[in-house]
Amino acid sequence: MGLFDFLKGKEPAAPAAAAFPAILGAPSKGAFVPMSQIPDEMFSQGIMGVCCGVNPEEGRVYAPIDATVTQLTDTLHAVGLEAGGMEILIHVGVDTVEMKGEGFANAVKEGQSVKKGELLLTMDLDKIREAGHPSTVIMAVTNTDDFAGVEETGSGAVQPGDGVLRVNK
Amino acid sequence: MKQFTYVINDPIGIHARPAGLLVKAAKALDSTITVEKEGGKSSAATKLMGVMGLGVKGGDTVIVTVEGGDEEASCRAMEQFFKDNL
Repeated sequence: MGLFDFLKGKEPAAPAAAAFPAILGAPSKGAFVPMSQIPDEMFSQGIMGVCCGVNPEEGRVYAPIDATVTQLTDTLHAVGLEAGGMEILIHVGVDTVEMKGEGFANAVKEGQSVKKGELLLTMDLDKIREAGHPSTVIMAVTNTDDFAGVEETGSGAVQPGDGVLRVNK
Repeated sequence: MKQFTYVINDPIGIHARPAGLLVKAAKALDSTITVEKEGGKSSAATKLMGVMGLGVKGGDTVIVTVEGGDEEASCRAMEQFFKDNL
């Protein structure tokens, strides 16, 4: 046992490589929304990749899987994540870009590693409603084409972390 | 190779919606399209996260490069796309 072994024990572990098929957990608590019913055709038609949504009961969005935060926006309503080659976009609401960040707050920084279930951002559901936008939290695998398939596995009421998308390599 | 520059009119820039439309438009072409923010990063136009990650805002200049396939037609299609959407 070397003198500095105690230091080695404190080295941060490398992020675990995502195992496939990978399960993405619900990003919020609420009612599951299948891709085809998301009230924005950019998502419902799969243009942004295979996706699903949650109509949130609470203004909190959590990491769906252990990941790295690759992108935040000035308008605070969207987060980009990377995990095991999956590029995941979590987009809160429809046309909420128009709110210019009002009512949204990021809880993470770009480049940060996050664990599944860690808080990513918060939003004021009342403000989104007042602005006249659906508040559906949309989660898309934007590079769906790089995978054998992405399937929706959620239904009904979901808790954060409940499996809603399965990604097959 | 063909190239053009374009100044973004949309005040919010290339956010999720136009980025998605750009990816869709670029995938439909037989050329390789690259979008570069002047003085910044570049990305394949078919990569949604890459395009959003350029952080292009209203007033920014982008440089669009078209390589391979029918470059003439692809370049025209991309110029039209930017005029119509951004």
